[in-house]
Amino acid sequence: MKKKLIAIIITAVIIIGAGVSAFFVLKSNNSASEITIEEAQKMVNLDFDDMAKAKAAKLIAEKNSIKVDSISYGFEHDVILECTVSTVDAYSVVSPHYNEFLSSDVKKKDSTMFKSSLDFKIEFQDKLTELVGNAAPKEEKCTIYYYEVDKELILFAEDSVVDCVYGGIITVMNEVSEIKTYTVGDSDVVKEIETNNVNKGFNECLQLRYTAEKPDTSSTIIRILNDLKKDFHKNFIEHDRWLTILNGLWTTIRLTIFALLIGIVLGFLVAFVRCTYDKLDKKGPILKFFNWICQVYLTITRGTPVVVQIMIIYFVIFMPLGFNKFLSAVICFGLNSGAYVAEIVRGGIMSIDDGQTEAGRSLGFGYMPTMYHIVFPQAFKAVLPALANEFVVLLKETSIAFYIGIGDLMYAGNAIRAATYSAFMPLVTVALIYLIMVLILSKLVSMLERRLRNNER
Amino acid sequence: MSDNTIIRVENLHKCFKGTIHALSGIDVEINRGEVVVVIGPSGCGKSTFLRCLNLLETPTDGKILFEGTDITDPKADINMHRRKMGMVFQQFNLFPHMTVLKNMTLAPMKLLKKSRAEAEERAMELLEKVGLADRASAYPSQLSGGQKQRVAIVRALAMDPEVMLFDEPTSALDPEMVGEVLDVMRDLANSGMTMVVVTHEMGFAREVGNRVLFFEDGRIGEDAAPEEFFTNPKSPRLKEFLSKVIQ
Repeated sequence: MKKKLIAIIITAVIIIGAGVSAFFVLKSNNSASEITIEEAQKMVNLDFDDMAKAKAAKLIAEKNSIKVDSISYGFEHDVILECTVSTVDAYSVVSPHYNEFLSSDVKKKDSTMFKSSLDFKIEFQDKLTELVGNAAPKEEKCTIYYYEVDKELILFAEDSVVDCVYGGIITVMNEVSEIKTYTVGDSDVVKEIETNNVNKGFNECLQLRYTAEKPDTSSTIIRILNDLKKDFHKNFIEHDRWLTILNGLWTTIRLTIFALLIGIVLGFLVAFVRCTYDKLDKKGPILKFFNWICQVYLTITRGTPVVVQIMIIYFVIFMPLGFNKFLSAVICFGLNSGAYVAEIVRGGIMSIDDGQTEAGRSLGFGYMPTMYHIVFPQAFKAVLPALANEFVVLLKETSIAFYIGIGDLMYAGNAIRAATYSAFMPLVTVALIYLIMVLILSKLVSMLERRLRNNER
Repeated sequence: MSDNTIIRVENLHKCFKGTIHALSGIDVEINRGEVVVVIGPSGCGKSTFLRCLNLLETPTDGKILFEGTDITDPKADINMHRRKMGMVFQQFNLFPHMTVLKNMTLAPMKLLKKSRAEAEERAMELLEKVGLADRASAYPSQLSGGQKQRVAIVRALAMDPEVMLFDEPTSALDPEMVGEVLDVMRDLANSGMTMVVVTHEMGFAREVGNRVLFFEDGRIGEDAAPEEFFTNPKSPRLKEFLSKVIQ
């Protein structure tokens, strides 16, 4: 016992030690690998040339040049480049013309000559390109950052730097997108369309491929964890999506419990009829009839897929009658589980020695009281673990309720997947919740089995 | 039929599955206070006969009159009659999910509508008699074979039966436990209980029995007092049987 404990402790220490050291190995090396000015220059040229997407921005990109003056290294795997930027002053030439851009569009509207949005954009682009082409050169200083991620240097330039390099493009874009109220004529609707078009036009003409987001420079493990954290936040915290999961879980549990109750009652009844039929010598017509019903029920329920059953029960039978989905599902799973419980219980009753019945009968008990006082309690004890297992199976099976649109756990997971477009987090979480419930139940079942075995044996 | 007759069997037949003729025409009368021992080779129908007496096996033909009532009549309430016929099985058939006390009080409480206190008092009294009062709260699995069979006997006695039927009560016991069960049965016989005992214990049959029945091929081959039965057997089959079992 003691040896075992020591072995466990040693193993745990080794595992934890390995984990911690791996963490530090991956986390260490806080500064980026060194580079030369030439290399830095190449990187900057490549990145900023690549950044301009639209015509107007490209025009500026052609006219600007960035010279790397000095290199220093920051604390977070970052290379800090002090640069001198020669560019053109796009802002000062574009900003006086905002109103012109807007009114050109409005005029067309007022004369009810609608211009297609494509025409508008082309005209817009030409005008903007012309303006930018005439912009005066200017020179500025700025700081560009590169972060080392997976041995690769990745650009991180703040909006202000991009703005500086492209002669105030960011400022232009920001100012245009702030134009919300531009009064034109009487119609509010027209006004709305105007500003939208102008915004769009500017954005499309000046669009940069770059959106400033500082790269995650932590070690691979930490980065994966960070991604998971983000994913987790998106899938569960945002819009209180965890509530969906919780509601689904509650529905699943309710569904399982109600279905199980129906299943147990039905299962015991069917098992009782079948056993009585098997055991009695003289079989009355009523018993024969009930036995026949039970057999038909067992054959159908065990011989067809649950999905088909639930679809038939809801769409064919219950929906036309106006019953709700939950009730349909409870009845479907109750019927289904009843068939399996019946066979389990029948096995249990049959496993009780005939001598028990004989002893009961010889004392003067009738058939039913003998069953009730003597056979059933023993049979119940014998099948309790199997019944608990049926509970576990049923719990998993209720995920099929998804097919008729019941908001159970599976449904909740899928709804989140559809909303966030991330499959991994919601589905794996649903699987984990099922797994945890099943593990807990299995643990309880084995505890129950042990208790029953210890008792009286 | 005299007033003293408690069980009267007339022309009893029992066929299993239509082919095996286990009992073919049994006629016998059992008197109050009598200890009737039934012996015979295996397969001769002695257990079937005993089980027919309380209708655990349904006779194919014939009548069984218990205290003057034909219990084979479909209208007869067999459960009422069974209350008065205690039965002890070879395999004890104690209820494993109940304590000894519960085993003994279940039927009196449910069927005779005795109060718990009453039923338990009677049960303890009986347990005291067979020396198992200290095992009242034990479960059957915690008892030895001999103890189980003694509990089975007092369980039947708790219903205050008129007749006790014993179906090979010592056959499933280890040899050293046979004695304690036979002692209980002997005491019971001495107290004047009517008993029908199917057994292989020749010594017991000779000492305790008032009458010994020898079964052969579903018939009664010999019906005599023990002395006569063992010392001067008439049937050749019985002679052969006795020569085999008594060395």
